[in-house]
This record gives sequence, C-alpha cells and structure tokens, in this order.
Amino acid sequence: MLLVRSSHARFGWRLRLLGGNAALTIGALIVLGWLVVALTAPLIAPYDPIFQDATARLQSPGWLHPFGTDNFGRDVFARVLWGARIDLQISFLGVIFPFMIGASVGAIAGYFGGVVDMLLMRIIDIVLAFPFLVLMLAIIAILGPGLSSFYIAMALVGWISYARLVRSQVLVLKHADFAVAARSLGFGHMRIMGRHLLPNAILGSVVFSMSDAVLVLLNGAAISYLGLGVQPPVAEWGIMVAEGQGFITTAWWITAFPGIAIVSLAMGFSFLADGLGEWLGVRE
Amino acid sequence: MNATKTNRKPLLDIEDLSVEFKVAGGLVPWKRRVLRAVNGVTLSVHAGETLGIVGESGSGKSTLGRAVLRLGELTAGKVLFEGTDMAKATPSDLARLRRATAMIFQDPYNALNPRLTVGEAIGEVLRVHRKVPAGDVKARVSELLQMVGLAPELAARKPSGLSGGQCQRIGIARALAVEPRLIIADECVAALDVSVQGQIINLLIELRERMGVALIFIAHDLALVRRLCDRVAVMYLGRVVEEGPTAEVFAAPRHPYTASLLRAIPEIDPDRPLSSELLPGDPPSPLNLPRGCAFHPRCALAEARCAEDPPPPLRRRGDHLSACLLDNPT
Repeated sequence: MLLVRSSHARFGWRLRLLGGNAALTIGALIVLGWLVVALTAPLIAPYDPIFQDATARLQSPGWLHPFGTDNFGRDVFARVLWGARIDLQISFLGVIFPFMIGASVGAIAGYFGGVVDMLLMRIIDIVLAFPFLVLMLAIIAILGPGLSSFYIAMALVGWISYARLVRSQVLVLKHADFAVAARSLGFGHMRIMGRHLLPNAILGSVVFSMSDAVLVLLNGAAISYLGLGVQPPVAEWGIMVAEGQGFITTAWWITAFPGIAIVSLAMGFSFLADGLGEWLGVRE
Repeated sequence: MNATKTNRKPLLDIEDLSVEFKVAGGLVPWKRRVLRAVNGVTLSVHAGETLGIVGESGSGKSTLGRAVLRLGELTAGKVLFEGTDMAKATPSDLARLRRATAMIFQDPYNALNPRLTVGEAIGEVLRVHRKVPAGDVKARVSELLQMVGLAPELAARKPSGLSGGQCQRIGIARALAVEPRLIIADECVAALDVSVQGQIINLLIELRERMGVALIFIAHDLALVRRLCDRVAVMYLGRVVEEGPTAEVFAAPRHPYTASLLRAIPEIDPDRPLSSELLPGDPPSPLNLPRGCAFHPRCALAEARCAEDPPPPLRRRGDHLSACLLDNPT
C-alpha cells in the first residue's frame, strides 16, 4: 500500500512512522483549524475586515499588522481570517449539493438501468459536452453575479462526476449477493437503493468529494477573481488575490497571504481525501 | 412417507423451466448466440422436504435456484408456488413469494451488507415484514441468533468482525426471520472449512426438523447431499438427467453421469484408490450443446443412437427418473 503512493511516498512513509493514518490526521487538523478560525473570526481578528484606514495604506507586515495592509489600509490578517468563513462555506456548499444530486441520479440510473439509465446518461453527456468553467460562467451570467448564483451553477454542473461514480458502483453492487439477498427478502426498491446500495456505493464519492472541495474552492476563488462571485468589499481569498495583483511588485503581502490560505486549505482537503480513502479502504 | 407425499399437492412445482441468456458473440448484434443455462427442467418439492440439486459448475443449478425465486429472469416454463404461477407473477404474487421463501448464499461475507450490524440486518427483515411488534424486534433477533447457535451479543457486530461460519449462521438466521416455507441454499457451505461445513449441515437438519421448512440444497458435494437430502436431482448442462430418492440414487445410479460423479467421491480409506474410470475432460460449452444426449461425448457407454436428437426424455421407474437411453425401465 505504501508503494502505490507514488507522488509523495517518502513524505507519507515518514509520517506513518508516527503511527496511525498520517494523511487523515494532518488533513483533518488543517481543515478543523480553518473551521475554528472561521467560527471565531469576529473574536480573534484584530481589525474589522472592511475598515479602511487611509493613514495606514500598503504597510508591510509588522507588529501592528501581522500580514500588512492593502491599498485601502485594510488589515490583511483580519481579512484572511474573515475570508475563511466565505471560502469554507464555498467549499462545503459547492460540494454538498452536487454530491446529493449526483448520488441520487447515479443510484437511480445504475439501479433501474434500461431507458432510465440511458436518458440520465445522455443528460450527463450534454453537460459534459460544454467546458466546465464556460458553462458555469454562462449560468452565473444568466443568474447575475453573487455567491448564490455560484452555488446554483455548481449544483447544475458539478453533479455529473458524482452521478457517474455512484452509477458505476451501483452497477457492480446491485449484482452482489447482499443486494440479491435484499431482493429475496422482499425489500422495496427505495430500501434496497437507500440502505443497501448507496451506503456501499458512495465511499468513492466521499473520497472524491474531498478532492472536489479543492477544485470548488479554486473555482470559487476564480469566479470571485473574475468578479462574478463574492462582491467587494467582502473579504474572500480569491477576491483578495485579484485586488492585490496590481501591487504584487510593491506590496506582495496583499496577494501572498490569501494565496497561502487557499493553498493550505486545499492541501488540507487533499490530505483528508487521501487519508479517508485509505481509512475507508482498510475498513472494507 | 412417499405415499402421503404423492397424494398431497407439492409446495413448489417447476414445470419445463428454461432460462436462456443472450451472449454478445460476433461483431454484429444479430449474430448473438443464446446460452441455454436451464433447459426444460421439471421438479417438485413438497412441504418439509429437502431436495438436493447436484452437478458440475456451469450445469445451471444456481441459475435454476435464482429463477425459481424470481431473482433471475426465466425464459419459459412454469414455477407454481403454492398453486400460483410465479413465472407470470403480479407484484402482489411476487410479494407473497418473497414472504414465503428465502435464500442462503455461497459467500457468507458477500451475502451480508458490510455497513449493517448483525442486529440491524436481521431486525430489518422483522420490521419490513412486521413479523413482531416494534418493541420485540431486539428480543426476536436474540432468539434467532440463539436458534442458529450464536451468542445474542453478536448482534452489535458487523460482518467484517466475524468468521465465515458465523456469517453463514447469520445468513441462515436472516432467512429464518422471514419464517419461510421454502429455503434455497445455493452452495451454502462450499466456501467454508470442512469442520464448519459439518456444523452448518447439522444446523440445517436441526432447523428443518424443528420448523418443517422445505429446502432446496444446491451443491456439488455429493457426500453432503447424501447426509441432508430426501431426494436428489442430478443436472448436466441445464437438464435434469436423474432424479430420485437420495438412498436409491446413491445405491443404484441409473444414469452414467451420476455413476461417474459417485465414483469421483474421494474415500477416507487410503488403501482404496480413486476409481480409474473418472470422467475425462470438461463439459461441452452450453453455447453449443451436443446433439442428442448432452453427455454422450464423455460417456464411456455411448452408442450411435445417443448422438441423435431429440435428447432422451426422463423416464420413470417407481420414484426414480433417469434420462439415459441405455437404461431399461423394467
């Protein structure tokens, strides 16, 4: 099992010596850490994230402003902390809706097969025919910029991966003895799908959802960067990077710290996905 | 015993049952070939009786079992369960069949949902079929576990923490929760250790005695069939070639295929070597059945007429049927 972890095998191996599932522990710690930051942001942030101090513009990191200030004199540290709230929300809501829609569609398609499966798979083909980001931008353009439009666009576009994952699992599992047993015991379709097939079919999707959270986070940041997601002056990491890029040569801290925040949360999810996969795999 | 049975209506009457699968063969869809897994099988099982179905892998015995319980498709024929033809079952017929039958599977781990604890798995059956009031489900689960020789404490465990033998007992307990009149056990001990096999067979004998449930025991191990079954049907390439009371079939097989299967049973006695007249080769492909008696290419006694269509029909002598042309009913 160690040998298959090619990309960061050495790292994983060394951490494993500490005992237990290192990837899962690290991933959970990072994500939990950001969750705590998000929840306690109003208490721990030293400044109001949208308060502009015209006398303290573009200050480099120091005692007063640990991450410096931006071109409006807003404290970057406070904005990064507050941004955690929005970005965690983006990665959670941006994953949960596609997950639920995709898992249901996939289960129905795989379980009933035939015409139902054919129709649902053709719908997936249609969605797949468009480039992901272009389709999202189009939907957001129709609905108008904002986070709720982003979530709706995510739900409309993102479910297909989950549907395909769950469908392929259900296709295999519905012929497993325990599914045949459930049928022989006279259980209804909903019970067989919901209680017997889905809990066994979504393991792969749960793992995938963690790496999907990374993509959604980056997507959310990208959409905000393009001005279609979170609207200024709200603190969000993607928008902070966008706003700071004009000053990257003179005030690197405006973009660097939110950038690091995005990378660290993304890494947290990535570790979580790795560890979860291993953990669930062991339990199988 | 036999006299009373023949007078009563059987619990299950399988008439001329066939199961065919379309196999994607050539490059073009209209060239698809047909695999005849079960080919005109007629059998019956009375209440409380145990019928053994034996045959090599690929003889269609599992397919037959699943088709009878309508867990697999069937192409033609009748499956009369308590007088209702389940081959043309309405949803309510099917629900009735499900409430009166159960199945025990070959792989004891695979037959249990890995996400559910033992108590949840058995309790679910009791709840869905409202076998006991909701408050009594736990007590009934304990009772069922004890009935199959397990400690009630196991109800909190998941299958991954149990042995194969324990899982198979749980599979049996779950089947008993339905309070079925017919259980089909599909190779239910083939995946278990020999010592555990004996325990499970003894458990089945005990439960059959106590609950009067009819059992179709699908197996390839003839020694187990001899110990457990009242009657035995021998299948070869989708057809029943011999059927009769177990003792009679084992003592005096009438079909050469049955005879060769019996010769292949290993003996404990090391001084008695295995018969040298073992069956050569593998059975022919069910995609391309031989003409006439499907067994003739491997049969030591085969004559020219054995290769002529139609395949020999089952002929009766007393309670014992055989489908061999060379067998002369007197």
